[in-house]
Amino acid sequence: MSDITVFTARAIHTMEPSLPEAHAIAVRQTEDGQAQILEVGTLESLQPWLTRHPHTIDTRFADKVLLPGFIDPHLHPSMAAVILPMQFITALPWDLPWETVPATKTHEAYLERLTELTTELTTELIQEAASEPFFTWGYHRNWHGDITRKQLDDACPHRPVVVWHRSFHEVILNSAALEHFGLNNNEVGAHPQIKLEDGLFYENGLRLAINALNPVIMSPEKFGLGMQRLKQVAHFGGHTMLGDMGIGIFNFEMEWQAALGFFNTDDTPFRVHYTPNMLALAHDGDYARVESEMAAYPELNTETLFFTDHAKLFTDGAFFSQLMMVGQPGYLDGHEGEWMMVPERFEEAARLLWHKGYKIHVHCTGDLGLELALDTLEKLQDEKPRFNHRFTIEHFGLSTPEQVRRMASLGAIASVNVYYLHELSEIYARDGIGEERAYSMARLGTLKRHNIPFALHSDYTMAPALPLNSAWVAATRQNEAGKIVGEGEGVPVYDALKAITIDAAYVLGLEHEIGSLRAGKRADFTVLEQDPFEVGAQGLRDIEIWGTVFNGVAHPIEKP
Amino acid sequence: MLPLTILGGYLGAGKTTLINRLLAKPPAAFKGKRLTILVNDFGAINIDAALIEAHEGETISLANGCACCQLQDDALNQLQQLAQSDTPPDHVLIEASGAGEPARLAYLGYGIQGLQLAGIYVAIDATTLAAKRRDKFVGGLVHRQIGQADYCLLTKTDLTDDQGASAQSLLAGLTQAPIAHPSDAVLADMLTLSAARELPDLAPAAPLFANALFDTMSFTAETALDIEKLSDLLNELAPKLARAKGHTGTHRLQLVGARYTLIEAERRAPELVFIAEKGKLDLAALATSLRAFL
Repeated sequence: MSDITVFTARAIHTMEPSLPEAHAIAVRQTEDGQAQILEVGTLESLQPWLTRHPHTIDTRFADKVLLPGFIDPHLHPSMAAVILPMQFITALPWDLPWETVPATKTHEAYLERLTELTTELTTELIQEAASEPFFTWGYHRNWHGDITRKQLDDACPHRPVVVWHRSFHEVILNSAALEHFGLNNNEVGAHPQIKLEDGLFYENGLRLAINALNPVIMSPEKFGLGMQRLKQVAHFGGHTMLGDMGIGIFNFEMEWQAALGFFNTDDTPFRVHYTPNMLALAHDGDYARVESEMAAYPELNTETLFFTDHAKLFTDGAFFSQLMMVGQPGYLDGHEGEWMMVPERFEEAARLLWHKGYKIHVHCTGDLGLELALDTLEKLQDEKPRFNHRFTIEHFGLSTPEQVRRMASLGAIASVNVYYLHELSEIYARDGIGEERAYSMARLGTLKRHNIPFALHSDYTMAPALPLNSAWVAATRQNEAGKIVGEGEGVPVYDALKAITIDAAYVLGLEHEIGSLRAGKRADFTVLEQDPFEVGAQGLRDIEIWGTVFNGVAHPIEKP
Repeated sequence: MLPLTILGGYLGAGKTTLINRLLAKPPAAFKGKRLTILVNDFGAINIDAALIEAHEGETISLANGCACCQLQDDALNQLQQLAQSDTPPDHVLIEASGAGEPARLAYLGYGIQGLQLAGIYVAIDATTLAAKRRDKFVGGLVHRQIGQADYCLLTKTDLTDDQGASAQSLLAGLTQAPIAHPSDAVLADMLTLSAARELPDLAPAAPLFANALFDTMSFTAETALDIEKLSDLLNELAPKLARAKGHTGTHRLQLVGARYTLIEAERRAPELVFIAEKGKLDLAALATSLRAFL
């Protein structure tokens, strides 16, 4: 039997109500290589273990604060791997491991920043030579105004520049890029959803551009760099567990091989739980075939990358693109959102999964999308009542109080992108759905009042993969304009922290092994320099993260 | 030019039944020609094994020269390959997703050299139309699909009490497009390129261009416009116009994305609409120029 290690700390917040605060935690390797918590308490209370077994006391965290390792139950490593090699130029600040991206809030500032970045390759992580295409992500018309080919040409006349929109739904190319990617021709120019003159490609026109850009953005070099960066990002946020909420989004085999190559390594300080994206996998609509494939995925499991019995479905469209289905009275401008799965197909897939006992996660962004998920869940509960089914509403952008009450009675739970409120509530109040509904995005307060467990997630890069930042939005309800909005939907610090630890574990069905600190659980901790309960709601996002302990081993965050 | 027909309609409207019919027995007028059909749900295609010449992966080739393939995520590439193939088919029919707007496929095809839109056909289930158009989840989508049709195909009328009469009158109130039962003659018409069709207007998209505002000018007159002078002017102005459409008195005008077509049509009083991004073009001056062409 291996030796015991005891970590002492200024405070250990266990997220277990029976013993909320402790100062020492004893860890031992089990025979199968897992580091297990033996007991949480104080050096005195741990004596019955310590007098019986050899042990060492590790005091390196004596002035630090331990929490259960953070869990992000919904992000997309393969999508992030496409975006992360790009240079961020964003309206809001982004804290990345390799750089702190400043807020670039105006048209002039955007072009200035672009000029600076394309001419002086000072950032060592931009490894491309000056003639290589420059990709940037984060442009958003609401802040940066119209950016045109002409303006890009003025800012950067020689190097190909590809500006990717924040929502990922449009790109703008300069003349050098149009030439480089062979897109400067009449055929392209005639397309109604391409404005060649402005270098703008959107909707179906964007697909034409992606066809040309794919060989670069999906190349092993770029994609590999993206995977490496995601690994850094995850550690930087203090995670010890990630949920890939939808493997198969591009190509199952490619994504799984990339995961094995980059994450199934000794230097990866986190595990990843995989949920198959049934919609993407069933491109021919054959859900039964996909389900039988899904049932075999756990055979692929490694120690740290694994499938269980979860499946991902969709109702309505993307929140960042105003494609969510909004119930009456709809959008200000009268446009309608989109269904990702129409009611009949959604019900067909959900029924198949429900009867086979899967834990179903449903991407729902608008209240009408949520309504479809709940109508369907109600039918399925009538057909075959299930308890502890973990039917999870993913994203939970817009909802009504009555729907939350219905979620409670049907046993649905939630995994919430609360950052929507921070980045979009002001814009959507003005240009989307009006203030009343925009300010009630992500109704965490109502979820809490109905005792519905909820997690917070990033859907990275839809939100920064910084759990303490998400918890800060949940506890303060502060948006990017500095306003506190929909205060009644905020939650106390304790609940915000539950949502990135034990309740996030619950959403992934892993609460028996991670998410809180108690005897028998895995030794995964996040190590903080300040105490969240001392700094309070407002201070959450500024807490410094020392690093993590993953499987009993300390992993400090390398400071640049 | 390879003609492209789009077959849309909500789930269960009978698109697959129509496709199975076309594959099994192509219209007589189409005899000896090769039809390629791109379908959404390859598994639902049901063809008499005796007619199948080859079945490879998600492509079936028939002895009668027709072929049927699974529509891939990358429809653009598939259409491009067909249009630019050394041995292109005589006609391509693409099945739009029941969840989608058929007009978006028309726009997708528009960017491909060698492809010409032969029309958007939308199948509508007579037994469910009344309920579907009021459905809280998909009522809006069903209305948009109908609004994009060049031709509405009313299906399953034999399953109604009144041979589809009430569905037909309901539908007539929702669209200007002709409404027909999918007879053999109508199926033959689907595979005929009678005249270049207009691109339909898309439903208002999500506010991608929240700040973009447009100027619009409507032009009407008593006598026809001189078509040569109009062409010269359009050659010059097309890049500055977002959209133009209507009737010149002798031709139908269609202008999208810097490309325009003038197709001879029945004579009538001119009626044209021009749309340009704000500040890009002096539309009042354009109206004055047009007056000089009468």
